[in-house]
Amino acid sequence: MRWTLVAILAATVMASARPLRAQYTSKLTINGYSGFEFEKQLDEEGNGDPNGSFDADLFDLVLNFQVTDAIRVSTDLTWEHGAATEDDFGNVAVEYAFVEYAFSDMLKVRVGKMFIPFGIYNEIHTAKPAFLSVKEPASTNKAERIVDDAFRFYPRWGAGIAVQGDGLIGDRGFSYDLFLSNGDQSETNPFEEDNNGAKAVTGRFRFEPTEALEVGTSFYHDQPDSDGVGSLTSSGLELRYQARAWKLWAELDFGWLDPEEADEILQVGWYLQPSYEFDNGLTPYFRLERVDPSTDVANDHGYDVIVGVNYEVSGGFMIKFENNYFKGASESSLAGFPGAGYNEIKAAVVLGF
Amino acid sequence: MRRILLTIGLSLIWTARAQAQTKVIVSSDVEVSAITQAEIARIYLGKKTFWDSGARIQPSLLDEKSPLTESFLEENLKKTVRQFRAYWKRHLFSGQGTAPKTFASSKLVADFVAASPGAIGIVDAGYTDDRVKFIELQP
Repeated sequence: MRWTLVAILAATVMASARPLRAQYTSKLTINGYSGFEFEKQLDEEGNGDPNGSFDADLFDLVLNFQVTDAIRVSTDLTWEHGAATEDDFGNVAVEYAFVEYAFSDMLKVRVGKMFIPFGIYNEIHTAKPAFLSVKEPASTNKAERIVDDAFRFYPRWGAGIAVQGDGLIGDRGFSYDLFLSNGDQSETNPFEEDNNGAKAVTGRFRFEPTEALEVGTSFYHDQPDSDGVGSLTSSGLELRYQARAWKLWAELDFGWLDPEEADEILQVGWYLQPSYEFDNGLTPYFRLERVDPSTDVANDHGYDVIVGVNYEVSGGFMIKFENNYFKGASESSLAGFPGAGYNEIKAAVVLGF
Repeated sequence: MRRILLTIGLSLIWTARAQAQTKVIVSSDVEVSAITQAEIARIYLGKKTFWDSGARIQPSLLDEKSPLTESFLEENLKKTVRQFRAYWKRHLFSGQGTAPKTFASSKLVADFVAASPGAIGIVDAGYTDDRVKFIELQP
């Protein structure tokens, strides 16, 4: 019996002691990120968190499996807010899971669930180690967080078929994305079934006119056929500029919402985010955001003014701290608060691995 | 005028020095003998992932603590180590692909390149190895 155990143990050790080459031929790459946050509203009245809450925000595993030279499977699996399904707390989700077939760098086809490729932030909004601030810009990504009446320019995810690629115009780089998906819907699972015949279309084109500058434009169109919405069409402009330690990110989005029983609404959202990166990993940043939920209604707009600092302690490990000052015009949903606004501090500890 | 010429001269010397600190190696199956700075930047930023032969490129370099990596990234990709890392975090977590593999020494980079079809690596200029092919890096 003892020799049997020894033999099994030896066989196990030998089986696990793969030759050195095996680590190079491994087709699976495992990465991920986690984040812990704290938010507290400083003023007595506002839409923020009055108690000051700790948030076990997320833990994500990012897996890439290079099946062949041309085929890759990629997924991001998330556990958010301390997910505990027995108590119905938090969220467990597939952020994206797709199969990619690369004909060349210029033509890659993907099928599965993906982030909508619109603007700068949507595809990195859960990956907090991938950007400076605690949250992504609300003005372009979650406009209703600034003023209640605002709508989102596009849904966060979609299931469908995408094509994308990277190439050169002359000696300058460009990339494109085109995504056909079920679109947004509230009553059926949009990642399983479309509740209408019209598909949502997303497109994005980015170009690098210089090594320091990247500009881009995005487009989204959907006929959701739910919640009384006839169609949603959005377009956006993006800019990323880097000059040594200075960096500027900016976006401008337009959204046309066509309700079935009312006039079309044009919403405009934008932000400007300059930052400066010191050699020691400290990066102060400033972000001015504005959203106007309807250009036909005067003084219904709101601002979010963010002053913050990001400290990258070591590779991928960051501490973030910022103050958000929300300020609304006289006809906005913020108008009822003293001084027509409020302050909220946000902090985060994040790690990408 | 003399000051301008001196500045240009010093810049050229500095550029040549930074280039001279590293060499580019590829695995024996890769059919290239030279590569431009622009091409190598696109490879290490994940924008060029296939050789002309159709084989997938597997990029590798010394880890980010190495001063050679620092000079390679600044000279060829115009990025600091931190900017390179931030770029790849955005790329990786948005599902665009995985970052180049990193190793603690030129020997380990060469081990990887020698064992991996389509691989390319950046090693110390003084490193020699018969298992891999050294190619020219052109401006």
